[in-house]
Amino acid sequence: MNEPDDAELDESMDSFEAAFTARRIDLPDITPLPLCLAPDGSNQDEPARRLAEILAAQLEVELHRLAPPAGDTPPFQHIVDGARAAGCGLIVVPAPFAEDFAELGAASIGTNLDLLLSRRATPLLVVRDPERDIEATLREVVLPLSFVARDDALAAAWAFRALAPHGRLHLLAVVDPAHPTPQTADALELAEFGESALAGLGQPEMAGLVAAVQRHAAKQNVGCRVSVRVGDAVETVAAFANDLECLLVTTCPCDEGSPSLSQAHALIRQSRNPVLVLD
Amino acid sequence: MDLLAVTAPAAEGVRPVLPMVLIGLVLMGTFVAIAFELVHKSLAALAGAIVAVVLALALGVFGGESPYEHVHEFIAHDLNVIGVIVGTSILVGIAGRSGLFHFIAIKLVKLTGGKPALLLPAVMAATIGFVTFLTIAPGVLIMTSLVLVITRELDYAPTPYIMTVAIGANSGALMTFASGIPTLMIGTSAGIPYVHFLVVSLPLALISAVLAFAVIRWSYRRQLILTGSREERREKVAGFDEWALVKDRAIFQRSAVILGLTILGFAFAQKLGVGLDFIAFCGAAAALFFSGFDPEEAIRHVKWPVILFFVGLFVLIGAVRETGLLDILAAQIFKISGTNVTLALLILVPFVFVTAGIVDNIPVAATMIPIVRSMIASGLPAEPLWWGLIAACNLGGNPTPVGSIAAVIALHALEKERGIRIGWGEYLKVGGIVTLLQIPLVIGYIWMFRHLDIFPAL
Repeated sequence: MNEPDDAELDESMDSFEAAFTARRIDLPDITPLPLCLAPDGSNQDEPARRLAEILAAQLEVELHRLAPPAGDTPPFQHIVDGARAAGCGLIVVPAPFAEDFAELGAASIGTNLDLLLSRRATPLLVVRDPERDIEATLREVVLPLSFVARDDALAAAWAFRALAPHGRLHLLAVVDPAHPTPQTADALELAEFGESALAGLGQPEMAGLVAAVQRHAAKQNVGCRVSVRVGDAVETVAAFANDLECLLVTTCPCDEGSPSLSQAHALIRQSRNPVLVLD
Repeated sequence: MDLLAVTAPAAEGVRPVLPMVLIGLVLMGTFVAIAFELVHKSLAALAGAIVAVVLALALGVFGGESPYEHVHEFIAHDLNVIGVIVGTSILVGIAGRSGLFHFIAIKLVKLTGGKPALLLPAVMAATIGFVTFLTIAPGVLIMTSLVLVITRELDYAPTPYIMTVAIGANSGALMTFASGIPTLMIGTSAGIPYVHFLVVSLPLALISAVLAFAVIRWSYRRQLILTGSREERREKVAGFDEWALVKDRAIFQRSAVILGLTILGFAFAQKLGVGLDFIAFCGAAAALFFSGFDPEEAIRHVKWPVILFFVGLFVLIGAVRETGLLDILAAQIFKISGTNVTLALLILVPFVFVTAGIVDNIPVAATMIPIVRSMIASGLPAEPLWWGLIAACNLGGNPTPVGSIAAVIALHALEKERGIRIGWGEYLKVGGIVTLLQIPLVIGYIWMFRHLDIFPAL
């Protein structure tokens, strides 16, 4: 009974290591610009409109509603141009969800989502399952840590702006066994892989981001929980978020060859919740 | 004074010698196995209990129509202790993992600016504080890991700080009823109310800690040197970001509230008409319910080997007690001391200090409880003996590196993480001096309470 538990010791050491190695990260200030709602005539228009209204009220910005595209202008181009013309900082679009995809056909924005993702100049809020409780969406925000501190700091700042008062932010770290790093490989050897393992991942940027987010959450008096899961990055994030009525925030560069872009596509496809895609 | 008259309990009837010797040998063998780590302690206790029960049944030690019922009675008698241990280990496990205490520890270190003259007392104070609320093992685990990280980053020798944790923790275990397992065992058996600990053992814990700190400070004065410039040190310590280890602020706020309410519950348990085990289970249930931790995982963190160790130990000691051996030992002490409390303390306290340092303070506490009870039944006052036993069992972990779980954890971590091994010789040089000072301190402190008649009556 007096034998010390090395796993518990390592866990405690890792927590202090994280505190010591954490790189100082400041969340950037975001000045929200007007929102642009681009309906597509599908059954997702109504939830998209409602979410756009709630978010606009929360950000205290105007909401512009785009008219349907006319002439030969591709829908994605119509949306990008319309948003730019209105000086919008965020585009809200419905995206086909599962079975209703066929009904919408080629005119649906769903067929243009890839183009919109790679050509957008502003963040994009993609509304998915029309059956979700839109009113509850902004009470919980899931931010999957992508291990890129600079981008995640921006995403964290957006997550806080989108989060309803007294809401809860989930920081989700996913360790993918298929793509282990030296740190995650060690952590994966642990029989029990819990939240504390995050500290053991030895990522100064991630530790710094956790610190910045927790500090900010304390100031804003909102909840913030760090969770760690093991599994395929996309599937695990989608499954985690789908268990909640929440907003999912992710980063994705506008670069067609980027693996992050295909990851964002996959995440949007698998998500039942609205997804906020940032640069 | 007629000694025979007051030794009546030991003189009652003549007990057969053979079971006494055989089961006494089983107890000795178990203690040797524990002291020299021949087998796992839980296994040693369980094996000792099984052999003792078989012998007791075969030799007719347990009377009555259903002799085996005695075994259930032994366990039932101490079931409240087991209940408190299970309940508190769930609660402190959650509180310890919430990050709250890690957070406080870093805040405290930052206040010292990394200066050894402030860091060492801060380590001592935090160790005592954490052990008070979390019990020894989780408290020491947090402080040991903090010390290993901070001393590495500041390029300080870790040994003085590790020794401070190892020795200071035993003073911390004296602070309240639920701070240490021996305290819990003796306090429960003696029926000492929680608030009495604040009056009697808390001041003693603090004085013993100051004494230990002075010895450690003096012993390691050559290793407590500054490295780098003041600015560099400050910068390094300021670089610690306590928010990086926060997993959920709400969890540690809730954990702190539940822990505080449980401690209040312990204090008012008697007035509420419930046992401490009930309060501990309420705290555990609240922690499981409100913390947000997975209950399965939290329950898995209960030290089940400790529980098995206790079951084995209680049965073994119960069997030995039935033979009358412990009454004889008590009578022998009483023969020497008579009703002279000071003399009884002069025998009891050093004996417990030494045996706890060699064997492990938990089995020593378990063995000494019936002996002290027998001494009290013989006519000695209860308060000085119980408090003497509590102090000696806890501080008795100080002289050797195997005397308490605090030293075992701290020294193991030091060797594992930094490759520094503190042998018996080095440990004895510091722990031995601390013990030599703490033995008269305990005796003098209890003597003073007795002399001034300020012990709260039991």
